[in-house]
Amino acid sequence: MIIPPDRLGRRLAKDRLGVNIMAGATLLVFLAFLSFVVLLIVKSRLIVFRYSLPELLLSSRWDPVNHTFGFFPSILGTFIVTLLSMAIAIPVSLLTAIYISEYLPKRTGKYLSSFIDVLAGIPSVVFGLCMLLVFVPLVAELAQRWFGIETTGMCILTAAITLSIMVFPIIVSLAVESLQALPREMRETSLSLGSTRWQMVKKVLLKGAGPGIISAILLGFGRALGETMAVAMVIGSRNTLPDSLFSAGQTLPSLIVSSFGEMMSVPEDQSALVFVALVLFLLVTVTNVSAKTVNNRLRKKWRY
Amino acid sequence: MGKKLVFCMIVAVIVTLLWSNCGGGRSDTIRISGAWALYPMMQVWADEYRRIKPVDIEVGGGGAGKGMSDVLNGQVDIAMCSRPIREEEMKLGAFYLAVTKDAVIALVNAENPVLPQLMSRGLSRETLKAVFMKKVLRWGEVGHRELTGDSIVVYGRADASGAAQVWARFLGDYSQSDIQDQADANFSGDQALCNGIKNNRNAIGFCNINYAYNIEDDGYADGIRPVPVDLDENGILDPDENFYANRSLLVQNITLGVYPSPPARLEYLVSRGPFSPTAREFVRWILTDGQAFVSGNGYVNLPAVQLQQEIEYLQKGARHR
Repeated sequence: MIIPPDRLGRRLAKDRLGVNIMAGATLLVFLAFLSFVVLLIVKSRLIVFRYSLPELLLSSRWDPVNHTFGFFPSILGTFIVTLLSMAIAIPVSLLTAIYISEYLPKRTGKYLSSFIDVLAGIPSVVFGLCMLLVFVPLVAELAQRWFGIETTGMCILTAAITLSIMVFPIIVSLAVESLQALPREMRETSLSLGSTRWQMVKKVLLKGAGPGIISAILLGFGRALGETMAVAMVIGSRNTLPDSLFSAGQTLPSLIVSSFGEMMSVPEDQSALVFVALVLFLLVTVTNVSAKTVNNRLRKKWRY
Repeated sequence: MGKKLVFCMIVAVIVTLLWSNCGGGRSDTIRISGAWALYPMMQVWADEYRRIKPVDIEVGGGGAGKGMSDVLNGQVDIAMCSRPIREEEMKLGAFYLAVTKDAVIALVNAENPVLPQLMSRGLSRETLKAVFMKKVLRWGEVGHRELTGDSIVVYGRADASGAAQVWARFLGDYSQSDIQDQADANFSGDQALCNGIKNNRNAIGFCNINYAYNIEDDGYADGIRPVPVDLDENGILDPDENFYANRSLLVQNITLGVYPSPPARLEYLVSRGPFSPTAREFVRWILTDGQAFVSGNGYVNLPAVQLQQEIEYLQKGARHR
């Protein structure tokens, strides 16, 4: 069959056009990202030049009206809340993922994991609201009864629990996926050698799915680090170093979200807030990059 | 398939263009944003003014700082501001007029363990300061009663707010951050703070008077009670200090200056440079006929002399003589 030359020309033109559009879209995304970074840096120059970095990053007094902008408590709070939430979420979600993937009947597991996928899509305000209404009073009550500690319930622990519930579906969903991606032969071989189911899970499957599970955990970690609304609603927003897990605190995102409305009119205040955003951005970027590196190393090490 | 998509996109673009054309172009539109504290009052003024003048008035909230940055960037014509205008903002061209007053009051839970004592004795400024700065930790000490337990739970504001600043200045040489850092927990917005107090019988906090009372019957809002201030610090709430039973009575006493300022505070309208002609008409109306709606909505009328002064400033477009 002979293709008429004009049709071929049109097809080729279409092809070129498609490539160009794709390249343009990629460039657009990249430029948007780049312009954010530039904007953050340019806008925070004012505050960094006017105050010293240690003054901003390491002092614990945040008082914009009196020109004091130390946000160390928020940096520390971000780490405490995120790490604590991961410490709660990781064991629970891994055990759930193993149970769903290896112990439940296939059909039930399928329903359950699609239900968990739905959970992952719930907006964070909804979590925040539920936690505020139900969990805050509960934490206050239990802290009083079990530890004799008086707290309002709006505290670091509540924020961490909120986050752990929010990242739970993410980790479970991805971990189940990577467990189920493992070949059936792996399980059969292990069992045929006389291992129990738990031994198979522990010694074979977790290693095989290791990189995937770690990716899942890191994704959850990233979400927890940047989560704003739900945390701001339950953490109590106090810019001081917390004396216990039951006292109110602040994270970088919650600091930004609770101050941005009022702090935009004065250039210095605005610059301080942008600098907080820049620090958060750097924190998230450094965490993500180092996580990726670790992940790649492990992937090489655990290759089967 | 492809053609359909292109067609849809063209339609979308045209609709967007038309849409943006019909909103922005009109010159007799007044755009307003800013303090939540003044927002309800502004809604009333806007409604009343629309009835007599063919003007479009768009009122948005967002907080005092949002309003200030909007007006300084030229995104709105008028900003509502519930705190003194800051020097930096004046340098950027902010011109402000006081239009009304309101007040911030202390609040406790309706089942506060020492409520009868609070209601009969009030709290002096010194005691309030000690409470909010965490120098006094138990309700028993405040209420002159032997109570074990019942720690005072202090609630503050998480978002930078005019109310918190005014309250801090009433307590002493403090800023909002001092209250926020001492508080057991902080909430965003008056409503959330009032809810917090409603849910904790040992809580104390502060808010705009309009959140402390019921709009329907002028009485106390559900679950919370205002804390009377013992103005002469004699340890007893004298009859002339006892004006918290309903909103009208409190508003009356703020107008007369019996309730101190701060925590009573002026509410401002701000523009960048002099007000635009349309906006100036509206603001002049607010300072004259508009004052009739003020006290009925839980705000406080400015004295006639001050109103006159503000009108002069409005005319001149500047605050200096």
